[in-house]
Amino acid sequence: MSESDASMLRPLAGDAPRSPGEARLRKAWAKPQGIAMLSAVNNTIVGRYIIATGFTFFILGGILALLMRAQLIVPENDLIDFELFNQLFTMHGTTMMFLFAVPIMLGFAVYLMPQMLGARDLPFPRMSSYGFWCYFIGGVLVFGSLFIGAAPDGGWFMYPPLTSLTYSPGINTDIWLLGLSFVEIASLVAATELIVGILKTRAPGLSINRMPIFAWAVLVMASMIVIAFPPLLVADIMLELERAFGWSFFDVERGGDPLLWQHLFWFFGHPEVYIIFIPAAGVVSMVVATFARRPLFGYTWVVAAMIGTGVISFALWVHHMFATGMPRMSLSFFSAASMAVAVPAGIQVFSWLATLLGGRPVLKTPLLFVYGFLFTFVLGGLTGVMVALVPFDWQVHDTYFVVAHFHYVLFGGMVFPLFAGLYYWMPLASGRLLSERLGRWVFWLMFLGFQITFLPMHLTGLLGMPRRVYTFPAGMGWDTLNLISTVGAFILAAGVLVFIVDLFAHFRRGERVIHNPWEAGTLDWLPVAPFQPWTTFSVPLVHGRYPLWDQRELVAEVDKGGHFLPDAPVGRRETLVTDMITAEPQQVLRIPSSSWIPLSAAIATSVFFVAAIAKEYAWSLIAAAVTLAIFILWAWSNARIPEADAVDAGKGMSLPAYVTGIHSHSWAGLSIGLVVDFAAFASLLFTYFYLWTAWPDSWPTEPFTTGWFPLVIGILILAASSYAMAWASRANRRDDGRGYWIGILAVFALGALFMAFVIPVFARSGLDPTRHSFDSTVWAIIGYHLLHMGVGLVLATYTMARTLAGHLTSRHNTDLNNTALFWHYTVGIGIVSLLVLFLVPF
Amino acid sequence: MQKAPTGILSISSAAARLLALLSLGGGLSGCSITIEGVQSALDPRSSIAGEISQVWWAMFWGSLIILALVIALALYALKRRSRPSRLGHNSLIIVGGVLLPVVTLSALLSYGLNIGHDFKSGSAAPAELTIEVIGKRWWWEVRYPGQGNGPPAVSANEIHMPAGVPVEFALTTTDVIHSFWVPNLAGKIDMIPGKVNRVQIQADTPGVYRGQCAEYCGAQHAWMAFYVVVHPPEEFEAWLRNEQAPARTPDSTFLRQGRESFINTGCGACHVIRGVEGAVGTLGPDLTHVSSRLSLGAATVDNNLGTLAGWIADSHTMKPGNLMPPFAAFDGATLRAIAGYLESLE
Amino acid sequence: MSPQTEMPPHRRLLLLVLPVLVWFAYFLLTYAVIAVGCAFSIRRELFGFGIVQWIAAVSTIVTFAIIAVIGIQAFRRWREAHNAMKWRETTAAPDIDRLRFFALGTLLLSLLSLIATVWVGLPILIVPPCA
Repeated sequence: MSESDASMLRPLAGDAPRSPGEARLRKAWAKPQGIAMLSAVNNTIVGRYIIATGFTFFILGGILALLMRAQLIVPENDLIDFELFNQLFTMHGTTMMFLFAVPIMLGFAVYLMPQMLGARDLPFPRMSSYGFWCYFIGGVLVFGSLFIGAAPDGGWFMYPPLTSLTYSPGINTDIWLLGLSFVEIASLVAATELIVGILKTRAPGLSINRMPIFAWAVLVMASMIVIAFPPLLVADIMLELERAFGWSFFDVERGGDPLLWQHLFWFFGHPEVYIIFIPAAGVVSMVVATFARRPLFGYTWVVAAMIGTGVISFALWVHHMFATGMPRMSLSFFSAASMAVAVPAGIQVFSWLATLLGGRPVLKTPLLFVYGFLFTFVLGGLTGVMVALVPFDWQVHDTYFVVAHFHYVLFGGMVFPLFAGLYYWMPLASGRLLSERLGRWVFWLMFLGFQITFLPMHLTGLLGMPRRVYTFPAGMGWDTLNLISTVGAFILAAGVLVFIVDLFAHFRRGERVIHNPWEAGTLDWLPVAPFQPWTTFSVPLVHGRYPLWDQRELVAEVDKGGHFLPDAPVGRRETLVTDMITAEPQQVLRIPSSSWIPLSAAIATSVFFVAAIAKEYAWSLIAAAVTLAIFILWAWSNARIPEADAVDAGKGMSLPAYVTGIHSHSWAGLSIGLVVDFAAFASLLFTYFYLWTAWPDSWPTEPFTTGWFPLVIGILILAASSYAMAWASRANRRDDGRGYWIGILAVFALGALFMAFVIPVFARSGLDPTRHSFDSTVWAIIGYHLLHMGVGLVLATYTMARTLAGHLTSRHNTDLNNTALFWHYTVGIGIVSLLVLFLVPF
Repeated sequence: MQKAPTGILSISSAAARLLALLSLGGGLSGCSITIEGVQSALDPRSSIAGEISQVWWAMFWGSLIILALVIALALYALKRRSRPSRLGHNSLIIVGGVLLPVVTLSALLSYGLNIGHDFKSGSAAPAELTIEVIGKRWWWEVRYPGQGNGPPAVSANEIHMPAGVPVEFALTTTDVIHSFWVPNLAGKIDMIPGKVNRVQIQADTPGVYRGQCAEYCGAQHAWMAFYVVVHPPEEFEAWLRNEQAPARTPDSTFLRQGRESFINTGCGACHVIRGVEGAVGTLGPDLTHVSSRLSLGAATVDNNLGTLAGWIADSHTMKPGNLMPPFAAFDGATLRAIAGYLESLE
Repeated sequence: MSPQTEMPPHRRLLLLVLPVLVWFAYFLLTYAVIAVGCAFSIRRELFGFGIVQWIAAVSTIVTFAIIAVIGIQAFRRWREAHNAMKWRETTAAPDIDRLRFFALGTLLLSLLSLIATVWVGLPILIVPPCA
C-alpha cells in the first residue's frame, strides 16, 4: 500500500497519541536513547542488533572466502601461506555456521515472531538481550583472534587428535572451544524463549493450526537447537578439559577415542544444517504465499514435513563418518535415514510449486530470490542424496564435490531465502522499500556468481581435488576449474556489495511504506506506520491463517485500539498469554523493560570465558561468582506480585496478571532449560557407554567403588530430599508456614548431607582423571551432578530469602515451583548417575 | 613423474573434459583420455572404482531429469501468471513430493546397498598380499611383507602392487587422522589412531596413479600425496625382492664419504637405511631404497640429485612447515656427498 | 469427539510427533544393538541368522506395527473430522478444524515414519552385520 492509499487509514502527521491509552503505551515501551540504547531489551531492537551483527559476520566470512579463492586462482600460488590459509578456512566455516547462519535466523525469529503472532514482545525480553550480548562479545572474540594471528586452524569441525594439545599446542584451539561455547549460550537462550513465545503468547484466535508457517519453522528450529547444541557444548568442554587439565576422552593412549568427538560433533553438526535450513524454508513459504497471492497449498503437509525433517535429521550424524571404517550395516542405517529426510524436502518443494502454479505470481525481488533458492536448493538436495549413498560418498567425501554440495544446500537453502526475507521484511524495520531495480542486479550477480563458483566444484572434486588444501599442483586438471570458481566468487561478492549500497541508500531514498506493501495476509503486516516497538495499538482477535486477507476490517479496528490491550494502565509492558493449542486468552503477562542487567551479565560471563582461555582460572571463578550474583539480582528484580488479581485486557475481558504452576511462562522456560540440561547429561552418559564399547578390553570390569552400600545410601538421601521438597511445596500451598520451613530446611540439609557423603566416597576411590578415560568420565558425570546440587542449594536459599522478604506467598509461589522443578530434576539425574556408575560395567 | 605428473593435461584438455562432461557425460566414464597420475574418480581402474563411477552417472542423469522437471514447473507458473494452472493442486504435492522421491529413492537405496562390498577386506577373493600404510604428518610409511618371516620391508610415499590380484591394505596412523585415497582405484578410508582399517583393492591395469590425503591433518595436508605403481605380477615380484634387500653398499670413496657424513651429521637419528649401522631413527621415512622412488616429500617434488640436495639443505622451501629441520649449515661438499650417496640407493 | 478436543495441550503436541519419535527411538536402539553386538563380537546364531540381526529385524517389525496403529487411528480421526467439516467454513467450527489438522499431521508423519522404517530395515536383510 503506498502513501496515498494509506492516508485513508489515518493521517501520518505529527502522530500525537490519539488516546490516553496510547500515550501510556508509548511511555511504557519508550526506546532508551543514546548510549542507553545498549540497555534495550525489546525484541524489535534486539532483533535488529542480532540481524545487523549476523550480517556483518556474513560479510567478514565472505571476505575470508575471497582471500581463499584468491590463493587458489592458480596452482602453487604463494599469495597466502599454509598457516594463514588453514586459519582462513577454519574461520570461514566457523563464522558462517556459528556467527552468521544460526544467529541471523534467530535474529529474524526474535524480530518477527512477536509481530507475526500478534504479541507485544517475547516473554523473556532480558534473556534476548543477554543472549545477544553473549553472541556479540563471543563473536568479536573468536573472529578477532584472526588479527592476532591466533585464530583456530583445526578445521571447523576440529577433529582431535589434530586439535589435541600435542598437535595444536597454541591458544588457537582454546579460543574456538571456549569462545564458541560462549556463543552457543546465546542460541540456547534465544531458542528457549522462542519456544515459550510461540507456544504461549499468540494473539487470541491464532490457534496452533493457524500459525504462519514461519512460526512453525522457528518452533521446529528452536526445539532442534535445544537438543542439538548441548552435545557440542559437552564435547567442547571435554576437549578443553583434556587440553587444559590432561583428562582423557579422545586420547587412544589412555582409553579415549577420537571418533567419540566425531559422534558428538556430528550429532550437533547434522541437525545444524536443518536448524539453518528449516527457518529459511519458512521464509520461502511466507514469500511464496504472498507473491502467489493465495494461501499456501498443503499447510498441514508442510508443517508435518518440517517436523519430520527436524526429527529425522537427528538420525543422520554418521553420514559424515562413512569413511571411518564403521560396520557397513551401521552405515547403511544412516544412508537410509538420509534418503528418508529427502521426502519431506520434496513435499515442501512441491507445495511451493503447487502454490505458484495455483496462484498469480508477481515476480518482485523477494520472489526472484525464491526462484534462485529453488534451483540451487533442489540441485544441492539431489547431490545430497548422492552423498548419502555409502560407496559414492567414499569417493567424494572431503573433496570439492562436497564443498559444492553443502554450499548449494546452505547458500542456496539459506542465503537466498535470507535475501528474499531481507527484501521482504525490510519495510517493517526501516519503513522504506529496498530498490527493485538494484534488487535485480543483486539477485543476478549473486545467482550467477554463485553458480559460476560452485557448479564447477562438483567436477573439481570428482577429478580428485581434496578440500582444505592451501594450494594444488599444476596439471591435475584442476587449474581452469579453480580459475572459474575464483572469478565466480568475485561476481558473487559484487552482488553482495550492490546490496550493501542499496541498503545504505534506501534509508534515505527508499520509497516510504505506510502499510503492508506486498499485500500479504499474515499478522506481521498488520502495523501501520510509524511502526512502534509494541507492534500494534491493540492485539488482534483473529479467525484464520491469513487474517489480513480474511478479515477486511481488522487493520482499521486494531489501529483504533478496538482489540486487546490498547493501554498500559500501570505503566508496565504487557502481552497476552494464550492457550498453547487453542490460543484462548489466559493471562496478561507483565514483561520487563530496558535494563543494564543483561549487558552486565554478559560481560561477567565473557570474563569467565576469556580468563579460562588465558588459563587464569582464579579470575574465571571470580567471574562465575559475579555472574551468579547478577543472575540472582536479575531474578529478584523481575518477579513482582501484581497490584490486583485480575486486570483489564480490553474487549471487556478481565484476565489474571499472575499465573503459577505449569501454566506459568517461567515454568515453561525452565522446563525447556532442563531439556537442554538433560541433553548435555545424556551426552555424558553416551560418552561413558561409547568409550566402554570402544575399548572393552581396557575398560575396568568393576565399578569405581564396589558394594551396594553407597549406592543405596546415596539414592535414599536424594529421594528423601525430593520428598522434603514436595512437602515444602504442599505446605506452602496450604499456607502452613511451619511445614514449609521444615520442608525447605530439610531439603537444604539433605542436599548438603548428600554432598558430604558422596565426595568422600569419591575421593577414596582413587580415581585419577588424567589416568584413563574411565576415570575422566566418572569424574565428569559425578561432577556434573554435584554442580547441579550446588545450584539447587543456591536456589533453595534464594527461595527462603524470597519468603522472608515477603515476595513468596501461598498463592504467588512461582519461585518455589521453579526451585522444586529444578530440585526434582537434579535428584533424577543423580539417581540415574549413581545407578549407571555403580551397576555398569558389572 | 613429478609435481606436474604430465604436461599433457593442459588447460585446453581440462576445458575439453568439462565440455565432455556437460554434453556427453556418460561417454567419459568408459573411454576417457588415459593420463597416468591424474587422480580422477571418473577414470576408474578397478572394479570398485568402476561400480562407483557407474552409480555416479546413473544418479547424474536421474538428478538432471528431476531438476529439469522442477525448474520447468516453476517457470511455467510465471508464464501462466494471469490464469492459475490446474497443476496448482494438492495432488501435485502427493505425486511430486511423495511418490516421486519414494519410488526413486527406494530403487537407489536397494541398488546402493548392493554395491561396494568388494572394498571390505576379505569379502571377495581373499587377498594374497597385505600392505600396511601408516599415515604420518605429512607423509606415508608403507610396509611390505619381508622375506620369509623376516621384518617387513619398509618404504615411503609410494605403493607398489601387482595388477589383477586383490591386495589388502591395513591402514592406520601414529599421529592425527589421515585418509587414504586413490580415486582411480577406490574410495577413501580414514586412518584413525588406535584403529586399523582394512580394505581390499584389485587394480585392473598396470600404471602409475596418484593418491592424496583426504582428511585435513594440519600444516601440510595439501602436499601429502603419494603414487601407486601397479606392476604386472611378475615385475612386482622382482620389485619386492629388491625392496626387501638391504641397502646397496657404496662402491666408491665419494659414496662411502657420503654414507659417513649421513651418519656423522645425525641423519640416522631420524632415518633408517637397512644394513647401515647408525641409521636407525624412525621419525622420518626409511631411505633404504630412496633413489628408486618417483618423488620426494610425499609426491611434492621430483626425485633427482638436485632435488635431493635441495631437500636436505632446506626442505622448507619445497614443503614449508614439514617436520624435517633444515640443514643449510652443511658445506657444499658434505651436501653433495650425502645427496650422492642417497642417489645411489636404488 | 469431545474427549479429544479436551486433551491437554502438551499431550496433543506429543501425539502429533509421536510417530517420528517412535521411529527415532527404534533407529537409536537398532544402531546401538549393532554397535554393541559388533564391539563385543556377539556371534550367537538362531535359525542360521545372527542374534544381532534377529533383534534388529524384530524391532523393525514391532516399530512398523506401532506406527501403523498410530497412523490408522489418526486416519480415522482425520476422516471423521473431514466429514464433519464438509460444507462448513473453518471459522464456523474451529475446534473440528484443529482436530483435522492434528489428525492429518499425525497421519502424514506416520506415513513418513513407515517409509523410513522400511528403508532402515532393508540393510538388515541385505547387508552382512559387522563387515
